[in-house]
Amino acid sequence: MSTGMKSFENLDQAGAIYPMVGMEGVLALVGIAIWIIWHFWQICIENREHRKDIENAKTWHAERTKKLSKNG
Amino acid sequence: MTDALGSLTVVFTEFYYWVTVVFMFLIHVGFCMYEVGASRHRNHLHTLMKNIMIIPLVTITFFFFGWWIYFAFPYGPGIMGGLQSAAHATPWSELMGPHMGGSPVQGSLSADDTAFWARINGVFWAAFLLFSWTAASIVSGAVIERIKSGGFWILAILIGSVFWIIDAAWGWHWDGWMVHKLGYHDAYASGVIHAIAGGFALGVLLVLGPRIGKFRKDGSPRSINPHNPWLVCVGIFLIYTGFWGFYAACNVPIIDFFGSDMLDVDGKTMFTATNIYLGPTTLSAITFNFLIALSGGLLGGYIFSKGDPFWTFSGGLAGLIAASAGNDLYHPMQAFIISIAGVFVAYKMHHWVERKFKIDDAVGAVAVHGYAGFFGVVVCGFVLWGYPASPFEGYAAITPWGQFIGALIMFFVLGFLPGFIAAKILKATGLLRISREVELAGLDLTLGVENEEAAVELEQALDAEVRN
Repeated sequence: MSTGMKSFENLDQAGAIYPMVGMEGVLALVGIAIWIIWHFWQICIENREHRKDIENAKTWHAERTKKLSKNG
Repeated sequence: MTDALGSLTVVFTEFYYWVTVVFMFLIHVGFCMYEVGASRHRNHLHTLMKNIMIIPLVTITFFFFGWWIYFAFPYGPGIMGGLQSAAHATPWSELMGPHMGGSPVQGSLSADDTAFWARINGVFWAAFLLFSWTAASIVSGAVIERIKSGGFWILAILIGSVFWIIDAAWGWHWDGWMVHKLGYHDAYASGVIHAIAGGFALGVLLVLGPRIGKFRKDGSPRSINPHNPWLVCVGIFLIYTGFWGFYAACNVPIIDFFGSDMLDVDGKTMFTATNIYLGPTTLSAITFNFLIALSGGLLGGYIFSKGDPFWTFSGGLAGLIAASAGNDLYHPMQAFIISIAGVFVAYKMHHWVERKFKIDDAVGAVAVHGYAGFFGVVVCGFVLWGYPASPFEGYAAITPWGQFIGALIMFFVLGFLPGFIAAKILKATGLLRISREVELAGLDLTLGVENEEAAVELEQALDAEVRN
């Protein structure tokens, strides 16, 4: 994981100074893949949460209906 | 970076944009406070999460393709030419990372380009990125309390990393086709950020529908008031503060107007700030106009809403947005009058559209950003009629018709239409709106139940510990 820099003597000639110069395309593809997978994963999580929300909401509605009818 | 004056100019520019980015972060803090304050108790956390996740999603996608679009699309493509070379802005460019600028990295970049972008790329990218967050945040406020987060985040990427940056390439770029052909002028983004985001929000709202209970059976609207007006108002205060940074970020801070990279007039040197079109302005001028337009907006908002705090604060924002298109050149009193008129348009249009079309814009985002922005672009065409849209030869001058066509492109073509179509697709795939039961009970219900269960379990564990 070297940056390729050994000294700063020729800093005015230096270009990129991060590790793995030349691998930018691969790094970009990895980043794009993570981004797209994240969306699928997030939608699965949200759908699961939403199903749970609907169950809890049914209880909430039942309790609220009971309370409202008690209050006339 | 070997010439002392050139180096100083570039390093100053680098630092200047960096500072504007930090200021602009406050816009997002303000939007979060505003939205959470405007939502009801049972939706707070969902509202907060919906907004905060704009930051990572728009940021990475703006790195992947948003920045490239800005430099590749100024001619359409297909309107005035093809895709333009943007070697420094692709996600695989060496200049999208730490770089000393010492050697050309791509065939199309000169040594001078490389040295320049090595210093400026990150901060300039970030300045545009913060505009992207703003565009997405504007939409976020309008749709609170009934949209699914996953669906919204796809919309946020579309407005933040695709459509607003296409409009910036077309009409907020010194070489954009709208500047060439229409003389489009929108220095502080009345249309480029605000009208497009307002139009996009309107397109989404039309498909999304109103919150349950917003309209009575006879169709008249109910007020769903902010649960915390104080939080809403402080949020807008922070947006004003970030707006200062936004104004500064819209300028190029220092350039030799007659130098070899500009008009190249022999024997003349004049360092000045410019707008994004490289037309001359000063920070001093825009400071006058920023504060006067804000004042006009607040004064107008107070009168038109009869002292309503929400609309007075929003009026400050709408006034600023209405004057922003020409605030590099207006006299402060022109900015003042335009800002008051802009608030009037936004306030009246909001209530008329709400009643007529049953649109539930929860925070008035379409009005404050969309209608005020549209108005601001059009009125700029009258006030600055005939002024050169660019310092370079061969560009159209500013005209009312050029600005009107520009406003239509911003609000309808790049805002409303993509928002409407994307929302239709999300609706068809079940990703747009939460279920009726959940909306009535509140989006934070399950979290509340889980917290309650966890608290009971903790109590029981503590009791057991005491007994032992």
